[in-house]
Amino acid sequence: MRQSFFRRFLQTQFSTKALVLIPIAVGINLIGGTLSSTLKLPLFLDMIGTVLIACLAGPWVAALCGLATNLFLSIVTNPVFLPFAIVSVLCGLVTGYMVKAGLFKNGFGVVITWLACTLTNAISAALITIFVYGGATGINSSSLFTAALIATTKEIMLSVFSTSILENLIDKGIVFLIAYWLVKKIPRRFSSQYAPLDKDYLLLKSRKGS
Amino acid sequence: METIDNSIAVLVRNINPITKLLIVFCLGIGCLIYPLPFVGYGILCLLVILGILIGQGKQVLKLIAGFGIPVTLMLLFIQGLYSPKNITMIADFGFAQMGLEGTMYALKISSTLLIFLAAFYLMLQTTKNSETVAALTQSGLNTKIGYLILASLNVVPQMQRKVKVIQEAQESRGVEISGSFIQRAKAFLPLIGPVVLSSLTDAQERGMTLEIRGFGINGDKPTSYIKVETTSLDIVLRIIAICFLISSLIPRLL
Repeated sequence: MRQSFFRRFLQTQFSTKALVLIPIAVGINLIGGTLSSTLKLPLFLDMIGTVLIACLAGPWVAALCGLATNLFLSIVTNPVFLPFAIVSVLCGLVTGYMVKAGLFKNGFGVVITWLACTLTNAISAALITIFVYGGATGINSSSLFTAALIATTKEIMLSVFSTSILENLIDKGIVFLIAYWLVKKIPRRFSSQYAPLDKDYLLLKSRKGS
Repeated sequence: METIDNSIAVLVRNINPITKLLIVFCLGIGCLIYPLPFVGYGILCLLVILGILIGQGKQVLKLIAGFGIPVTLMLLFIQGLYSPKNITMIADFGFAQMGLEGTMYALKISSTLLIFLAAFYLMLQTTKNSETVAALTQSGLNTKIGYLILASLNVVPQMQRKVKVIQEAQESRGVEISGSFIQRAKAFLPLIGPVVLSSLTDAQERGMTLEIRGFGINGDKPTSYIKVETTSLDIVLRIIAICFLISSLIPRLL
């Protein structure tokens, strides 16, 4: 019984159409990162794809996309990124469920989604930075900021957390702005094909019949 | 991937990817468990020697120096000076004191990180991604997940080319991609918009193509062009790796 529930879950959430979106979203995530570094902006902007896919294909596909992004980053650039996969997965899930609750339709909802995602990201990333890496990962300049804060406050936990929340507030804010703008640009005719199959009448019926 | 054909490089290249993965994780986790950091640095030296033997010495050293030195310094600063576990003080810098416990902790984390980094790098340099994924699917990984990993690896360079084309097109229209901060930030949207929308239509086509070829069929195990073999050398190496992991546990248990 449980097995069949799991099967049905997989079938409804991960259709081929949704799965092929994942490599594209991973690409968009990385392109956001490379573009912001070629334009010399002091941001990551590496979640645009995840937010887009959360809008198109739901929370679980977005979570898988986050996992794949970090897997890719750790293969291509630096294995340091691998533990942060948990952060991406959580962010994908939070954003996905917020979108599902209808919060991505107007500006106010986008702000709420942004704050929720920032909080999730900051807390989980800070925990990983502290417990896996002991305070600093050395992959970007924010580690220097953390070190400076530690020197003044003498509190590792507080410093890592405040750095994390600061950089996430700005970064995710821009990510959500861009993603909202992009979602508006995607034609309805295109996005409707990814409508979630959760309550798909035909699929449930055929499952029951078999 | 460069091809260097001395006998050791060929030998390393022919090891089963799963064995390599197992070795990487056993080395990393073993060093994390073992109480003293010096084992980690010893293994790091061995990895560098292995890198030199298979003709990747320069790159490995560059990687370790470029990432390892800043991260070690940063961790020494944070943990050595301000870790709450510090009891024994070994040095006084005036503004803060250096503690033994925090220093040891920092050294251990940095050695583990560097081992993961170097071992993983060597593994990637001596293995084709398609072989790794084929080996993983052979030992039970879902084929769809395998496809996702490979497709992501292939799609990204393709998208980077697309970005370049779009960047040139937008520049010829007059979009400024250099200049003041606001100007550069403004250039972001006309660059990412077309990339995203054209990639989405690409994804749609790819989905149809895969569906036609039976990607969505459940239960059937597709065959692969790539064959990965498990030799007796693999089994010996796997046993050694696991023995290393267990032996690193012993000083903790005693």
